[in-house]
Amino acid sequence: MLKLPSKRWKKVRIKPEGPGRYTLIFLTPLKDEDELREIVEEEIDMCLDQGERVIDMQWDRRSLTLAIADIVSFKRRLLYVNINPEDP
Amino acid sequence: MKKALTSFLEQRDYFSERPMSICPVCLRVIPGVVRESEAGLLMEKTCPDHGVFKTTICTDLQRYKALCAADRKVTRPLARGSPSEHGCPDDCGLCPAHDQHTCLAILEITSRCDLGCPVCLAGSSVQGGDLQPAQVEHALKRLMEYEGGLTPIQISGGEPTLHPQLIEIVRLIRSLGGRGIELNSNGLALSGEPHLAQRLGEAGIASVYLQMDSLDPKVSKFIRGRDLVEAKVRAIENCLQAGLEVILSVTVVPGVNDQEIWDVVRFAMERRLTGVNFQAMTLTGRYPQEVGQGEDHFTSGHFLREIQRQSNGALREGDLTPIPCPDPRCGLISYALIHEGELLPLNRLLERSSLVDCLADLKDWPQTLRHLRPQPCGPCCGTREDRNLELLSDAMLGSDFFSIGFHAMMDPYCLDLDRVKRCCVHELTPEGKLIPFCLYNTKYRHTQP
Repeated sequence: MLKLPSKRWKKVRIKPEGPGRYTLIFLTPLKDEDELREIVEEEIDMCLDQGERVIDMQWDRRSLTLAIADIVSFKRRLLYVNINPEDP
Repeated sequence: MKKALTSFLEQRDYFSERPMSICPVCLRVIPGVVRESEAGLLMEKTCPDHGVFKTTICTDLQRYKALCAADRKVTRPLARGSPSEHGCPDDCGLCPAHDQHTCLAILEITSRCDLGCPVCLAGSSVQGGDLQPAQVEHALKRLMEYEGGLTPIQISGGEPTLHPQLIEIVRLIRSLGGRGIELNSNGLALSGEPHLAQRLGEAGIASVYLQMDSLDPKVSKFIRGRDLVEAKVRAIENCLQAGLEVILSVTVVPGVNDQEIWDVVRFAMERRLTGVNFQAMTLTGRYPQEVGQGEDHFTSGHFLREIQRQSNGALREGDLTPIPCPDPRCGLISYALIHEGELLPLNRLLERSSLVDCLADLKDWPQTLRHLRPQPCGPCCGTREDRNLELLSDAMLGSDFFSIGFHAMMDPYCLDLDRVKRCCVHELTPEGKLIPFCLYNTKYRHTQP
């Protein structure tokens, strides 16, 4: 008997909406709006570089609108806070 | 003369380990000696009353030495359950001689099982009894005293889905702070009752440790007494649909399913399961006499050799690291990505030293990733480690996580008390004692009320 590492992580889809603007949609179910807010404060914020920000949060669509300068680096940083962007 | 002596020592490949073990018949403590033979590396021991016993403990001396030399990370428990009066292994509970805390507590809530497999380390059958929730609560509260909180818990048996209060027990563990609770199951109920997985998930079960030894119906019949392959596949589907993680647990029986290791890994990868843990069949409980000879053991050395051979190098010996919390001879692990359908072990992207802290206590992926997370720029900018992390990040995008483990379980034939003292997988008894799992199966299981 061994405890193998759990891979309970959040899957997201990131869609471009215009220059430097993206929608991040959570594919993994979230419990409530508080959980979404917590993820933004404790995980997404940590992944934002200078000049990048969360523009809006839409609980009904489980999504965020983001201003991101370097999307490749942002996606990389998401991985380390347990958020996995879907394969494009 | 000096040249002759050097040559003699080289030929003999002198190895001076003298493990303390037990007699497989009367269970008294006796010394052993490690010797090389054509069959592999043997532990040889003599009981004054029951004679000589020889057991394979590794394929060869070189692999054995490499395992012995691997890194260890020790965290001692806050409190112990037993005083030391007679010495290891007679005071177990844990006693002050124990050299590791609990990484996984196994809580057997029933001794009943609906299968009665020909291979069963616990010797479970339809006869037996269940723990009451009050007993579970008492045991868990003792565990919290030893560890300062709940460790990961595996609910086991017997077959725990037979327990009429299973859901209540899962909720109880949750209410005491338990997270990542695992259910060890043969999968029969999970395959036949589609809503059971959902209910277990809602109560707090995070993953199912599903016993599945083979994809071959004949092998299933040999080890489990029935062809269970289709039932296991249905159980997997039901668990995944309910959002439960699935880890396959494979009992490796030498000469029966030891050539199917890679097939099972591929099967699990294709279904995006959490991982596969292989464990050696032990000569405890129930086992067929024709495969249960004391000398034949499937060891870490055998696993390393076989997985590299069967996978054609897709997983190499060096991709598996001795687990640093127990004795390094007791377990191997590879954290990997499934990248474009193929296995990409993390150690090919990162220095092994940067992984060792994650492997201690077998940290979950979220903790592992936070641990590996690139640090803000500083004097280390542009170092090799940063480039490695960049490679890791690129590989992780669109990939999935996976792990492969091997637990070199011990029985009365190969038991080594140094390994017992370092164990981190502990049986949690109803009295609230913690006993190293292999020692529990060998010496204590049938002394429990």
